[in-house]
Amino acid sequence: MADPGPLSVTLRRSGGLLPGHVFEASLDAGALDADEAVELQRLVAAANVPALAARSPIRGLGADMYQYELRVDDGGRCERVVVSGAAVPEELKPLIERLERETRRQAHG
Amino acid sequence: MRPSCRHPVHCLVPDYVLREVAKRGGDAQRERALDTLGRSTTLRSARTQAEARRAAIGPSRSATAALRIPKVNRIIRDAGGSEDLGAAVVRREGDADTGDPAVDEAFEYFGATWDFFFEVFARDSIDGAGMTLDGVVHYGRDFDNAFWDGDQMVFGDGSGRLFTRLTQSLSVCAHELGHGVIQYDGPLVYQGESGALNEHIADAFGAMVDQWHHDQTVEAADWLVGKEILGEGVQGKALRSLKEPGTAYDDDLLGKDPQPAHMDDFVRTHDDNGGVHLNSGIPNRAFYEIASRLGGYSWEHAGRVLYATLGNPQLRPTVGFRRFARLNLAVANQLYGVASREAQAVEGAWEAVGVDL
Repeated sequence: MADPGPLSVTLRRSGGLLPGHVFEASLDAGALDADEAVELQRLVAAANVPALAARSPIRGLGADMYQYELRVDDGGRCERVVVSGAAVPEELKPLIERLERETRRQAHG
Repeated sequence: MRPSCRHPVHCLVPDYVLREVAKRGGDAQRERALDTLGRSTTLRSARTQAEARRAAIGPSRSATAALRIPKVNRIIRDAGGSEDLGAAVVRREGDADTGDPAVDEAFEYFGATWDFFFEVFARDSIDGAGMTLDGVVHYGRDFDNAFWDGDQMVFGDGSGRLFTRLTQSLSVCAHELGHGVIQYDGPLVYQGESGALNEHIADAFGAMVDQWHHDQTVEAADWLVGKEILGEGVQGKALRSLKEPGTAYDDDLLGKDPQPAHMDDFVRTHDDNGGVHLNSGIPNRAFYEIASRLGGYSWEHAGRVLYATLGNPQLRPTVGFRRFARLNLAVANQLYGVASREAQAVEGAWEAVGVDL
């Protein structure tokens, strides 16, 4: 049986006051050191991405808040979640924060 | 034809007074006030709150004298670089300046925006019923954004690269507060064309508050939103231009302002809730067109028609540009008369941006 491949997560953040300004960041567990790869696995599991994907898009009240689009490829199974406004689920926030940190790291080289 | 009213005095009294009567009056008074409140959206769409207020402060002054005089109520919280929306309150109504620019700017500009809505549209705060204006400043670290979260207005300090302290801009503060008004009066679903209309109306409120605060006519105003917040070195004049969407900035870091000004350039995208901050350029330009065709002060006619359109019971939460434009014209016809100068300005403006009526 073929290796289903490692976990990878991509975040695309759009919205906010500035029109058309989009940030993207990706994390590939295969390219991380062991501790970071385990932490990414933990964050994805805690977010319960399949359950969120079934509810996507998840929108709430508010305006000028960011929209987050997450794509998770976990061993060949792909899930896509779109959340925005004040509706970002608590269980998803740590994963978004981890990817936003990566966005800032990539932006600053 | 104007709607009939069984209680002429109440028909002249704004909603906030009716709510006080409902709370404090006797049974008969309460029943009449609640009955009239129930029909207030029809009243508002027909004659606008501004006319109700003008009437209320005229012949019926004595009827309102015994009731609470609406006044602004503000609280400002300092998140101190955290994302805590329940952070401690550092300034309340009646407190002196704190010396913290973000706190004092938010406090002052909330006041200026409340004054605009009360003086121009006879509206008592975000919900029309005296809601406390709750602001959070110093939100997050290097946070290049401000937002309305459904209850509060939240402001970052900016990274300095894209934006500086967002509370510096009256139009940005008014924009965020305006989203609250839209939530209570519309609402307009924050997605696709209705989301772009939500953004447009918040921009129009932002521009009008800025113009009203500085006593600027349509011709004298710059029609910019957020001209105070661009980071040092950013090539641009503001966050957005209602007069010339797509020209606010052209910068290596920010890119070029991508807002369209005409339906020919309507952007289809999944980002940003369907491009709500992009396609708002089209109705923004239409609003500028209406105001510029009529001259004078933007809030007197163009703003009056827009506010009455927002409060019209026929406005659907998922309204698109075309239906909104048609309602905008119907409201102008109702307020000023069919084929009036104002109605012609509305019709011509939407045609100019490519929205077929």
